Amino acid sequence: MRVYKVDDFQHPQDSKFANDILSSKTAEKVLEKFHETNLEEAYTYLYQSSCPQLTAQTSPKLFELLAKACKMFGLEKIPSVYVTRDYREIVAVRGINEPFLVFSSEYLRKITDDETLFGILAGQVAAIRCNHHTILCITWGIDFAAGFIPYGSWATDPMINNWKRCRYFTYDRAFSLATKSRSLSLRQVLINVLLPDILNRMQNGTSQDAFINQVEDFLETMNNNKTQALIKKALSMYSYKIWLPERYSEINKFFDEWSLDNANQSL
Amino acid sequence: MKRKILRGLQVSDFIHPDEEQKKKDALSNTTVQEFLSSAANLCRTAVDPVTQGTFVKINETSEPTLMRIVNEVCEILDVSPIPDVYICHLMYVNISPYSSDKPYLVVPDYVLRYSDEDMLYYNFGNAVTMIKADHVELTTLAAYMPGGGLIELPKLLFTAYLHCADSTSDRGGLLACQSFATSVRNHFWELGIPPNVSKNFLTNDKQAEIFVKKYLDEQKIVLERYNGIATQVARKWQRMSFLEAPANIMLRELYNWYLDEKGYRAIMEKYG
Repeated sequence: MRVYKVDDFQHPQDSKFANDILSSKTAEKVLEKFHETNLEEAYTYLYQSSCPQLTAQTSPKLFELLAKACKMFGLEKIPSVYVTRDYREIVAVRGINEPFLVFSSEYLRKITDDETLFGILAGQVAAIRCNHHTILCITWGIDFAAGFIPYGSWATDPMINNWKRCRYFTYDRAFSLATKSRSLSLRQVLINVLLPDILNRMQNGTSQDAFINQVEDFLETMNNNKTQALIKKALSMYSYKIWLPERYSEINKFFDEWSLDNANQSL
Repeated sequence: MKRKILRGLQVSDFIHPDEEQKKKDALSNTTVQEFLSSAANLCRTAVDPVTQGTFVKINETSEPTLMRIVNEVCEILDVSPIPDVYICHLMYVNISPYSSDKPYLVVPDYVLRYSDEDMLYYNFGNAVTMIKADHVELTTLAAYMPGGGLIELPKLLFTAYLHCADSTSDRGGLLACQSFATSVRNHFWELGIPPNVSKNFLTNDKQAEIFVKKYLDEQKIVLERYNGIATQVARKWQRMSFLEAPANIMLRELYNWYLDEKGYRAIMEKYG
């Protein structure tokens, strides 16, 4: 089995914005405070005390696939997994020194096949390899501190939101490398929006792809309509809306660049 | 369930009697008109990237059942053209129409997961009526207007109109699903009773009539019991500032219109 390096799957924009955040003095201070005040323990405790933990006994398939994803993406220690009840959230990496995964039970329910589950776990393992858990803690600290200064978040939001959005490109790349399936990689972008039977009829990645026209229209509008592009830019700065067409388009580009369609190494 | 097609149905047949006046009141001042018109245009431009970028458009191939219901609802209520339909990930029980060059509908996945087919007729009927009755520009604006403190003030200009418009669209929902029990189940879902629970005790229109009467009588007792000055102020503030009118009032409006000889039944006789 090939073991992927961070450079293989971390999206350049994720890498750039992550470096911007990590190299800022505020980030340094936030991390210092976390260590000084033992906030990490509190942060971890909040999840571990209120979210049920999944184990290899309760979820053997999930842990089998997680172990495989860890091996494939070069993560030595298999992270713990928790579930939470949150309709909006999907899955996230938390913690600083000992990162762990938190799945929304709604999201977990939507993952109905092993290959998709493997891809999603690969995405989260890749996130840990790219230090996303540390950056998420820092951004949480920055958000918290900015809340005490009037309009403080106006200065920090654009940098943080850009990264929060671009990190999904990295997950998608890891998903693609893990499954080698363009169709599944594109499908998982919409998994949290559509019910399974609708999703199955979208035929993502085929010549009948029902989402591709929307992707092309969106990208064309953003290239040619200055007002719409400006609004999108403003929305991107002050919210971390994930633009589905951009994720879709990035996955297609990645498959073309890596010729993954013919790799034939799926689960 | 076979539903009557209300060919030729006019908004004037079922519009809430105060809606037009409230709209005139809200838009009587030229400055207000200009402000709302500019804000609505801005809002329309701002909403489009969100829709195209974060929702998923469906069609007859990807979601034949839902598109069949939309087509049938538009036929029943005599609405054309048929609006586009998008799905979003949201824990919310209402389908919403959005203003654009061509208004479209946004369906939360939560609605799809928990509604039964009859309830979808009501929900789509409600949303399509908002397009038919020309509510969408102001409702989109109201939904996207920022809130809090003095920023709330412009909203107060048109909340009275929105409450009447809501009542009209509730009537449209009833006309589309043609079942009072289903309409009531949608209302109670907004109040917290899940569809799979309400279907056990609201199985037909007669049962729904009795249940709603009892509920409204209880509400009346509550209103009489809590009638201190602070409660009265709170009640007025709720009526003035909340985009949605209180649920008991909306349900009373629909119940009265359903029972009124010149209301729901008259329309079903006229067009049926």
